[in-house]
Amino acid sequence: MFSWQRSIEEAFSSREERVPVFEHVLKRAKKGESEAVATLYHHFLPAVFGYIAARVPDRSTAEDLTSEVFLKMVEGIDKVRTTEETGIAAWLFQVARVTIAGYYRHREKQPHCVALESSFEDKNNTIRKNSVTLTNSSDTDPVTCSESREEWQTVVNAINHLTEDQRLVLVGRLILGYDITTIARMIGKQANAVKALQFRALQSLNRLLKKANPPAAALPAQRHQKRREDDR
Amino acid sequence: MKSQPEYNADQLEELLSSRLGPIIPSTALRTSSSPDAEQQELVILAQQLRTAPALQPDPAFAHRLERKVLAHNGRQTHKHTFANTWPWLFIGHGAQFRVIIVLIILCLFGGTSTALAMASTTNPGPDNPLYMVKTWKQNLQLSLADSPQSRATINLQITRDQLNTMIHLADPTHANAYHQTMVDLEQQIDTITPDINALPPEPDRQHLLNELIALKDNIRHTLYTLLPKLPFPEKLATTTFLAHLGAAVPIIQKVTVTTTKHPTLQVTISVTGTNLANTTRLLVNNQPVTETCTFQSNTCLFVAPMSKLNQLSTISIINTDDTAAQTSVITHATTNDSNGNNQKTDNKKPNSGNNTANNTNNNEKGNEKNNVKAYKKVNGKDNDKINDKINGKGNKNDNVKVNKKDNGKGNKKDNGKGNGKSNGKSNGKGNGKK
Repeated sequence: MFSWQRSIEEAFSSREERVPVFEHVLKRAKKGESEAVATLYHHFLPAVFGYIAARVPDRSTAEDLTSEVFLKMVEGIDKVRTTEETGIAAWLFQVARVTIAGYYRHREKQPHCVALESSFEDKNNTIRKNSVTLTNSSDTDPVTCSESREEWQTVVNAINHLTEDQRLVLVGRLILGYDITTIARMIGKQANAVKALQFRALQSLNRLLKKANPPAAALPAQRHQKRREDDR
Repeated sequence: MKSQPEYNADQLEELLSSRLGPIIPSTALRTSSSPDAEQQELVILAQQLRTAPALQPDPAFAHRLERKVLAHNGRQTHKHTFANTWPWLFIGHGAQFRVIIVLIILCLFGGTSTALAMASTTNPGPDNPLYMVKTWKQNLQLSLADSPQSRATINLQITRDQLNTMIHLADPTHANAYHQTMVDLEQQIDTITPDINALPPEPDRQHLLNELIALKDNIRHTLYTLLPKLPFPEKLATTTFLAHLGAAVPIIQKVTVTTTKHPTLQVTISVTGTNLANTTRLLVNNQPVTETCTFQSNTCLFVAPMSKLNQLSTISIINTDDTAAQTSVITHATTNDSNGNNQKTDNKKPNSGNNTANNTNNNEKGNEKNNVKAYKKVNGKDNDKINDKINGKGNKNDNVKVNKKDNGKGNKKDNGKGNGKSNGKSNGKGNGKK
């Protein structure tokens, strides 16, 4: 992610310089210039993907929905009235929100799939017992993958419990690297309200993750690393 | 003075601003129990979120998506370029297309309706493209008629339309179209008259008969009003049509041209027929002559100097109401004096097959006589020879040829019959029995 941020920072070296540069890029993108569209894409991809990935259970779904969002960006960029970066960001997040809502609505309408195996947990335990002696790498360890997937689902559930504004603050602050003022302009609130949203968002997330995983509130990657250290 | 939540939020922001840089190992922070431990946990969580692999787009995916986005952008750009050239096609997207389709349908409908309306109101003649539309419409109406009565009613209306069309074509520039329309009108009347007569004896039948009678009267009246506008051939045709409708029109039964040599060389043209008057005018070869008619017992006599009457081919007469008649069967006679002595008669000109009913009638009646005279003249020297040919098994063609020369194509049949009789008679009389 640092590489993405660096590219953005290189493209827009300082805040004062970023504004006219962004407006110029946006103007060209509205005309359909490929280079400008690519610049916008690279700039907003981490945030959009991070926002979507934090709300859907798996990566493939996140990638599909991210694709939808950017295709809609291409279709609708010339109709957007705003010329500010925060306005475009807000618009993209709105599109992403609608896309995710559509995904969950569609998923609810689909029939619930029941596993053919009698007990998934029993099987998992069996696999776990067998896989301890057989697997060599944690990256390919199906147990790890299974555990990571399940734990990430926990994180997703926790993030989905946040309000939309809280989610936007976290994404804008942590992924896009926006300061409080910029985020305030993006979501249409005061700076103090954004700070409060930020605090409450992290606090809620921390509480939810602790509740789901009593030992620690660490995210899956860090928890797995800790487990391996414990095993040693 | 800030509240505790505000203080906590500010402190967290400060920590995040200072810490959102390089990753701080979580172990170093977790063990801390400082009053802002929760803040520290939140900062760690923020950092973990920021660096969570699950939230990072895969570079391969990013590259694929970039190509997809740029390709889609290319398509959109092309669409917008076309839309800028034809903006009216794309305003409202699908709704505009629907409007366009509706407009096209309305134009087609309107065009068809206009053509039909124009065909109905402008009375197009056979020389007008709308005539086909009108004919099609009339045929459609007839085919949709659900009863003989309604069919007869439609036919009467078609007849009225044809009459109106004739009125509009009654000028020299539309002679052919006028003639064709008149033929169609005549056929129409010939068709509907028996159709109406064949209807069952109901109130409708009498009503339709009355309508037909009134229509025929109207046609006759209209034709009389059109006659002055028409060129001479159309006058002749219209006069024939009037005769067909039962009007009193001039009919030529016989024309005799008598040339008198003494005391002066002059020609007397005697026209015998019906509905002639002393106001009847004479036309020789369709050219009017100034001599007036001396009317006497259904015969008009015109006397003119010889120089005026060279190479007579047709004799026509025209009344004051512009009804006309024409014949090409002319009997020629020559006298040495005005008393008619030393008369010689000659049937000079063949029937050129003119299109008047009068002429046909005349031929039917007069051909026999003419043929006799011609036969006598021709056979002045070669009587035996011709008799042999007629009565023998030989050449009948000569006789036919003679007859044909005298009477033209139209009367060949009649001539055949008449000739046989007259020749037989003349043979019997003139030459004794064979």
